Amino acid sequence: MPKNQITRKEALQKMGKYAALTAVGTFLILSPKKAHASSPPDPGGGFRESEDPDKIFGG
Amino acid sequence: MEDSILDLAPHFIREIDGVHVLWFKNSNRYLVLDNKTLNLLKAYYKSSNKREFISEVDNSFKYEVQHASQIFDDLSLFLTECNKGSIKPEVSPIKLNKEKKWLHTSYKLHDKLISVYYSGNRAKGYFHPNFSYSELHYPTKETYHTFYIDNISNEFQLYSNEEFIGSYKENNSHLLQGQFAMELLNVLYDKHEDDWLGTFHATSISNNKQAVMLIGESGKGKSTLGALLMSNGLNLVCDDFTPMLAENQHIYSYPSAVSIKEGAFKFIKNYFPDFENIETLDSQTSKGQIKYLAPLNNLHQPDVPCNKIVWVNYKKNKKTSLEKVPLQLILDTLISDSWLSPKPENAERFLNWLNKTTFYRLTYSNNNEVIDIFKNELLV
Repeated sequence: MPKNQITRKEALQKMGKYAALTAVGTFLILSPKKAHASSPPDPGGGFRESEDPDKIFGG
Repeated sequence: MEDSILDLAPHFIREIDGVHVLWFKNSNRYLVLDNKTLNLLKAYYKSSNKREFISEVDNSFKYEVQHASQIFDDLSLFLTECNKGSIKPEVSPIKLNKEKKWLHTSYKLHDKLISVYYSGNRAKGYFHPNFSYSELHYPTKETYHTFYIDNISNEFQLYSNEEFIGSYKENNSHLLQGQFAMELLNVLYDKHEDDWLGTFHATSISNNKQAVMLIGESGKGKSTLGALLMSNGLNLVCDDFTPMLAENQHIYSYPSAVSIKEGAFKFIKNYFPDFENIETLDSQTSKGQIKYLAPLNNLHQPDVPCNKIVWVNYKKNKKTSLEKVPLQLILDTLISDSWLSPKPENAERFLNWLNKTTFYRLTYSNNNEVIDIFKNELLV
């Protein structure tokens, strides 16, 4: 994973969002695309995970 | 518990591969939880107020009051977020002007003659490279369906048989292309959007009896691997856009060409002798230079079941390996990059399908080894 990217779990923790819940359990909110879209021109950005799927669940 | 909180409850909960997957109808969002978080959530729904929740988790989890209180507040916020849907903005239809000068192109796709009228070369550039291999170079009157792509006021408009479908800003060309793909799919199979369980950002390969779905981020070798397997006798059912029908969870072929990025040109030309003669186009995006490789065996591909998903990871000089991985390792890539039907019956079928599906991670660099894996392990 590139150094400037962080996992979603880390992002939530940094924001202090759901800090108590994040500390005790593991969860992941996933949103399918709302509109039909071809492969996006610039993948990445936002909270997208990258490189290694192990990072998703903090594995 | 207040009624409004009960409204935030998930519509479906399934235990799949050791984790809990919840689906929320209001938002069409999926939530993946471990056991502990699910039990906290159950305690939350069971309690009629914060005090009851604190007492409940004190008995089950031995949490201190302040900690339990913070968890209650987090769960309240969290469930609101899980249920947050987006409202589609109303778009006023723009009337089609058939009288203007159009660039007309006809394609033969799945034995059907599809006419597309483009307002100009820019509009044509979004679609034509994907289907140019099937272009008809003689006039025909037997058109099965007609699309128009217009360009008014810095936006592109899509019409299906003269019916206005939508208008898209130039920087949203991926939405225009995506909507066109869904419209074309419905025309080719005589279906409606609600008939589809989803369209996955995946490349699919079959042996005409079953399919394997290849997922992974752009640049990780999905299309290149698809082309390699296609050149070795397997069928490329779809590249980058895999439609699954809700009623049978089968994958249906989508007849676009395979887009090969510049980094893979040298590799692919070893397998397709005419590859160098294919025109190179500038995608004008971060994808850079692209060649569009026509699918082989495009006609009469049967729809096939698919119960294997492979997360593809091309790594130079790495030993080729295929390993089973748990659902949670691939679900983010699978769901976040795909369109999934918001209909409850389709969401339920998606969860049931996930439960019958095996997930793998493929790391590869050696072509012969990877061909062997597909022919002798995944598609037997």
